[in-house]
Amino acid sequence: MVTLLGTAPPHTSLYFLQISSLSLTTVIQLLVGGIIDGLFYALMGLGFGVILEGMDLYDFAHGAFYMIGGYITYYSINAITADPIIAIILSMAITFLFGCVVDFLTLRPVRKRGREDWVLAGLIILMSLSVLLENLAIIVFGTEYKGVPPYVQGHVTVGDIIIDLQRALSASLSAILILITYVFLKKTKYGRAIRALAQNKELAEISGVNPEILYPIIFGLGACLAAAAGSLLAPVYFISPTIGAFPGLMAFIVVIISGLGSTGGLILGGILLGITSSFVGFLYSNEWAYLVAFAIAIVVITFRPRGLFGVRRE
Amino acid sequence: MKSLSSLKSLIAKNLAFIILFVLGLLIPQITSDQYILHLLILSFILATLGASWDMLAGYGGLFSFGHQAFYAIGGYASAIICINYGASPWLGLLIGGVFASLASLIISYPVLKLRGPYIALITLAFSLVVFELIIIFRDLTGGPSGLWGIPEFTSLDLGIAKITFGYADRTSYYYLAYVLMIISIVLLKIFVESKYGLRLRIIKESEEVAETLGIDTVKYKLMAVLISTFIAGYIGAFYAHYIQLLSPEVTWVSTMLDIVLATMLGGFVTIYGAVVGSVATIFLKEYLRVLEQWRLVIFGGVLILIVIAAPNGLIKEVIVRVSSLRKRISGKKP
Repeated sequence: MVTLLGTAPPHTSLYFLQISSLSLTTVIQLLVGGIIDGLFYALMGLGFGVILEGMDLYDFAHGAFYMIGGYITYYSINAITADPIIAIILSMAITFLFGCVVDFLTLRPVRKRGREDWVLAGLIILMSLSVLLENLAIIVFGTEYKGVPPYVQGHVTVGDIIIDLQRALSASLSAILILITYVFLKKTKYGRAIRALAQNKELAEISGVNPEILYPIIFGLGACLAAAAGSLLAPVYFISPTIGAFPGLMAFIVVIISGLGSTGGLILGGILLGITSSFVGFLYSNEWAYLVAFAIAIVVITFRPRGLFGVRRE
Repeated sequence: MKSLSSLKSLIAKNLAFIILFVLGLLIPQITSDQYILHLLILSFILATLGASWDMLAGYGGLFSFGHQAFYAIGGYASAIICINYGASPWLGLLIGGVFASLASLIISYPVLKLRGPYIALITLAFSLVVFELIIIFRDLTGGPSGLWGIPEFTSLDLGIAKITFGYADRTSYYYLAYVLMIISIVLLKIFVESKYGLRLRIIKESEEVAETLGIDTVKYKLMAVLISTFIAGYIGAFYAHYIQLLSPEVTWVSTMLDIVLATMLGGFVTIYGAVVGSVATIFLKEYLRVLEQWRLVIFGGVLILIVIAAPNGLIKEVIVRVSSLRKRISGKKP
């Protein structure tokens, strides 16, 4: 047979379509793993979504904030106190302030110039910021991987399914943080102001909302949610200057897939993405899992730009 | 007479370009420093990429953030076909361009349907897909360790002279890169100054207005995408046969940032700007190597400052400022 690719590949060119058989235990194990990953994706996506909705800005430095959160956790646990709760709070607080400063120094001047090229100027600024922060981290922290001891040890077994306690704890804390953010946005004065600003800037301003105070807060909030994810996953993965790249991308993918304006939709989208990735990753390889995630994002943007569960933004 | 005066005005209008053109021709006669020539070749590659991106983003308003994917597709397509089928690298340049344009057709459907930031996102996602495909089909692409042994350009017999390509003397590579860049830039400039380019700019300003004027928006945008990706593809093929090694890292966002930086430094919506910006980018990057990691920190910072202070491009901004100052001074004299 003449193959299209000239020199014949060692195996059939459709090898990637073969599916290995799955037992029920493996399926449930993969589902559980997918749900846990999905909650991390949702937490990353939430911060990304808050910034996108409130500021009309794609946060391409989201991965960098995740990385910063990881390093703050590492230094807090090693230098200040072993208490992980304090480490998480510290990393969120510092990154929140840092986010406010970044907005004030780099985004505000562009915003003041007018809305015309805002999105793309913001995109370039944040991409550059992420390159800057990654390399600064290499200088300051070095390239070697740093590890944080697990917050909880051991695992539970339900039937044949093994759940790592650390991952389960991190996932539950992610869910709790998502819930807290949801309550903050729905019930508090600031949260309502942020949502008003996201829906209609002019009307919000008339009602006494000052956007120049709110924008840094929105950006800081988004950044600190990314840092929280970095803190929660610090004991699961190692910390390195480039660790944020993948979670940052996943935040972007999950927001594209689920759309804006619905926290439930975001969680569902995150879990769907997590489950898809865990199955594709198991059956083929991690590269295929990423490929499928990116391809799903492209298909969703093409046919449903506001996302699968989004209620706003065309 | 009329043609002479129009020629004069054409020369006057493009004076800076002509001076740079002649200077570029003379450089290998002035210096035989292979390192400088190498850097200039890399600058020309980046300039071609930058100019083709500038046409797409600056004139067409199609803010692609995945331009590096087409560059990579052109390089890999040409390299794979030349390695496996023994095709001539000269044909490879064409193959690279054609494959990049074909690949752009796949992504064109959503790109032409969407606007603004969505285009940036979808093209970025596309570049990631290309990266993963290169990693997955490693039998063909070499995977993460890169594709080795890409054939170099075969020598060219012109009758009067025989041009050979080698690393010991890069002069012929230099001129080839130079010619490719000049052809691309002149073509792009002609395209954006033509009625097609004008319609493209109307579409960028307002798609509604363009449609009211009876302009087929899809046709013109598709034309811009195909031309831009074709150029990115063949310069990718040139890069592959020049360096003779391709690694999947060319599809990373950092390549895109280089393109943006070069264009922003030189001047956005100018086509020429990318040339000056690319030379500055490549040389600064090389000579700042002593700063090691600080180099990229500084680059990130500089790009942020440019976007804040001179969104139309640094050199363009300076030229505009200086010429307006000159006008003000000469205006006051009488």
